[in-house]
Amino acid sequence: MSSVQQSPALEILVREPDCFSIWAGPPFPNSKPTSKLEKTPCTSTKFSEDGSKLLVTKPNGVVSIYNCKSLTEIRSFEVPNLLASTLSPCGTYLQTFQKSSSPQEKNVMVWNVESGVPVYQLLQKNMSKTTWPSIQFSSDESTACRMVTNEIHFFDPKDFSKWIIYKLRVPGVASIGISKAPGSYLAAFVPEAKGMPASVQIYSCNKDLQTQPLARRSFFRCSSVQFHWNKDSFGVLFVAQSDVDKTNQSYYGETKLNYLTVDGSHEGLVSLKKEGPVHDVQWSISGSEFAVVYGFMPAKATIFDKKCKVLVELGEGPYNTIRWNPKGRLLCLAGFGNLPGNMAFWDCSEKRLLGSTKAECSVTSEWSPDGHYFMTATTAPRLQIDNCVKIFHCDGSLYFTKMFDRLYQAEWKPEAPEKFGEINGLVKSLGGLKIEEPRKQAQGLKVAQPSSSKTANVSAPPAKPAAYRPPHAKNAAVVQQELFGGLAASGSGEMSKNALRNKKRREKQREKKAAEASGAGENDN
Amino acid sequence: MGRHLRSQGVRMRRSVLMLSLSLLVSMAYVASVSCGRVQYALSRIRNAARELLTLDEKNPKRIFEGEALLRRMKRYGLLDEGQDKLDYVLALTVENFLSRRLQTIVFKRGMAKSIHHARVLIRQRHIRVGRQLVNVPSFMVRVESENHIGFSLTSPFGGGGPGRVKRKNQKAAAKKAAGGDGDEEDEE
Repeated sequence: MSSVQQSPALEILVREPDCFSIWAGPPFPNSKPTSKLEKTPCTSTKFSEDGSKLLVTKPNGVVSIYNCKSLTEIRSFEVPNLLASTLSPCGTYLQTFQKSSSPQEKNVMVWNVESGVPVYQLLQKNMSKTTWPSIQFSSDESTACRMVTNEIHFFDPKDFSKWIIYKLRVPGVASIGISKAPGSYLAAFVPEAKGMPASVQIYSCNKDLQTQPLARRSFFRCSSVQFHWNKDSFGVLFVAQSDVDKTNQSYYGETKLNYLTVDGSHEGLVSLKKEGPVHDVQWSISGSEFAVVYGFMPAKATIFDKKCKVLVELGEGPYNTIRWNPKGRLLCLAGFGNLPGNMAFWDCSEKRLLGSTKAECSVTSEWSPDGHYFMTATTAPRLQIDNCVKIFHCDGSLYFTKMFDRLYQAEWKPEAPEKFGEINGLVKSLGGLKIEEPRKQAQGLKVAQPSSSKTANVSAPPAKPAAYRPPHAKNAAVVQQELFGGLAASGSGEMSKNALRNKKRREKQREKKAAEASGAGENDN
Repeated sequence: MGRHLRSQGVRMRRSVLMLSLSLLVSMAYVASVSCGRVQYALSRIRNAARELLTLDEKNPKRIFEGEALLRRMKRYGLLDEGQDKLDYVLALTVENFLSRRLQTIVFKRGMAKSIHHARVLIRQRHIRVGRQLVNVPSFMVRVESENHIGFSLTSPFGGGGPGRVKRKNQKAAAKKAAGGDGDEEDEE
């Protein structure tokens, strides 16, 4: 919803087998999205982090970069034997990984998108989760670094021709996470080795301060780590995972959530009240609080502030995902994956549940950049049937849904949340919520009208499947009434054979008794 | 003194035999003497709670001592925030106490590879609580200290220099490299 100033329009990218198209985002006129870019052949697509460029991989190793504003192709690169490609956060550089045909050939290239010239090349034998992208950038592209054995190399993102500006020696480093914005810190993970515990250390990206780590935390029982940096780089949350659970409570291994601040004010475990794995942890967009979903099912959800104090307890439920609203105050707790797809929308500042609904079999879920809509998508290859896109309002009511034969990807075009107005007005008006009965709401396949009305209805989950009635109950009068209603024959109505027989038998017995009684009475007399 | 301790040990072993088998198995890392010690402490606490419960509800002694007892239990993490009645004290078990030892907490927080490793780490002076180095595996950890357990700053695990064995090996390697050029053909 655009407010006083011009907010950018929302766009949705939808990728089906072999082609992709871009829709103009909601609100949809005539309940149907208009296509901004018609079906274009591709094998994979990805937006750059700030949404300015779109990377499209076409068959035969051709990579095209589109400008998202005009949706025209800026540049196209020919990269034979392409295995992977990625854009830098601001869209300035493109990294590609080729299958190396000869051992000497440099198979990772960094291209400058504007000029189309390769600015840096290096040789990398394997690609794994921790080593791709080879060169990591911070969100504003002020720092770029690359991890090699025992060392971290820093580059100047403005000028790659300077080669490596400086090196940071971290023996045994296995994965790194550069802080997003501003990009002045680096978290490095060194796994367990020969009795020494695993550790996570924070280094400054500034060359002069680089001798000692700013903060470190050592622990055992960990094989890999996922980093979650804060928005203003106050600290890093990391989830330490181990494949084997030494406490013998879970087959899947154990996870522990740790928090390490740059200034050292907190280092250690985040104290979680329930035992069990950490399903999801997300910083809010403002960076001053984070939400965690943890514990064996039903999982508990809690919001902590950046000093690790509990702010809000969101209760328990079958949830394993958190999605913060880009405008900050709303939160969606959802249970996707192997859970049935319950979604709960919370207003965190007022600690109120706005609405809850269900979106079965969703694979991906994302808020729109302006925070008004929440899109879930069921995509192949994870699920081969029921591929669809569903868009909900921020209170959980279903706004739009579309089924596809096969859907590979559906996502919003990223935009900075600052460009959009606040959603205060919408949230305040939700005070008058009305919860309708499940039967009144249309089933998922029908397209709901775009709800511009202020009193939004809470969308109930699709009607529960009809209760199972065993065969003999089919004949109960109540069921007959429901099924046939007024069609039942008048008078004695429909009676089954048994009922009729019993009735006759009872009447006969009654007559007999009456006859006996009268007979006995006579005899007695 | 020795005679007194021995007889006390016998008395404790008998009471430890009464512990359920499952408890012994799960807490097998804890010596039976320690289990007995904990049982003794638990029975003292339960007696105190039981005695207080027989008093009148408004009795000043019950209020004062009851609050103190509950505060101590909560402080050591044996009772939760919501359990604020003396009856909950009566429901405490040996397992509650055993799980508040520093040895179990070091293991549970991921700072040791196994529970036996935790005991070794504590005993070998690697663990600190707050700023104080704690050498005792049966240290009862308070709730507010629980987040401040870490490797001590002088320990090689916590950022200090290499330990004794490593230093010795480094010295030997340095010596060999510097002064062993002539003898190298003879060795190995």
